Amino acid sequence: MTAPTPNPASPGSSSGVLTLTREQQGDVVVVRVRGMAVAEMAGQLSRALQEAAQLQPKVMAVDLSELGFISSTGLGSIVAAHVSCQKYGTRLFLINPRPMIAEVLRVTRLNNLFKVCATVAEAEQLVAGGAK
Amino acid sequence: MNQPAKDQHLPLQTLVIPSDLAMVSKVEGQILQQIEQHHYSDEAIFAIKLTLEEALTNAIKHGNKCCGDKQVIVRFHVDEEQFVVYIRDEGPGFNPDAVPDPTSPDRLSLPSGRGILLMRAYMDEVAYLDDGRELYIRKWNRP
Repeated sequence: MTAPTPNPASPGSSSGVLTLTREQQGDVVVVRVRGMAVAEMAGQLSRALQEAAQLQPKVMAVDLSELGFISSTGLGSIVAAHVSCQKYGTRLFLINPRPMIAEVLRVTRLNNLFKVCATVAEAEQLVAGGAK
Repeated sequence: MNQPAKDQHLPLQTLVIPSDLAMVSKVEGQILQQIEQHHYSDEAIFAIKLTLEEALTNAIKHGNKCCGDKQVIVRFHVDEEQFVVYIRDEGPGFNPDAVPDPTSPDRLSLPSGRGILLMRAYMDEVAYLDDGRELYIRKWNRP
């Protein structure tokens, strides 16, 4: 019998799996955060976001569409990246968070700090259009 | 250890862990396995995982200061109606009412301080006992 493959993005998963990838296209850096942003993984998340911010792009898009869980420590990593981006004149956007992640942003009122977009293209359009 | 009179009848399971963040996912896994067996909703499972993450991290980092010879004691009960957990650390305690509101505009850009807010938002009951050394939490399993 084959055991079912665990879904790292399932809220019930106890796995601490976090996968981070980075792409840069011109003035846009996209960091994709997949899996579970638990406290144990916060250092890994912080490093990835700070390294991306230090590239000083015009737009930094943090893609949360495959993020299944985030704790306050993970939120803190994104907040710290936002502060770094402000220092460099970079606009940070959160892309397509799942409903339960969006609710965490609402509860903490971080939806007032971050701009949330459905796609990276939307974030680029906002910057190109001069939106604040 | 404290146990409110209304919960005296609840049988509690006990886990004792060292002050190591790597233990958080192990405790969560053991408790969430039982939560899933009792058919809690995905939203409730997310809320309980989030709360355990915040509570255990606080106990290890802020309570026990990650001190290797201090332990965290987790006592919990799960059935089809409710989840109850007591999490005790060996720190000096603290006053939860003195923790500043992380949603105030002047604190929104700070990277920490949101754990208690999240627990209170997602659980039905949250209380600190024994001068902040023990956290009590209840979540009802509602359809």
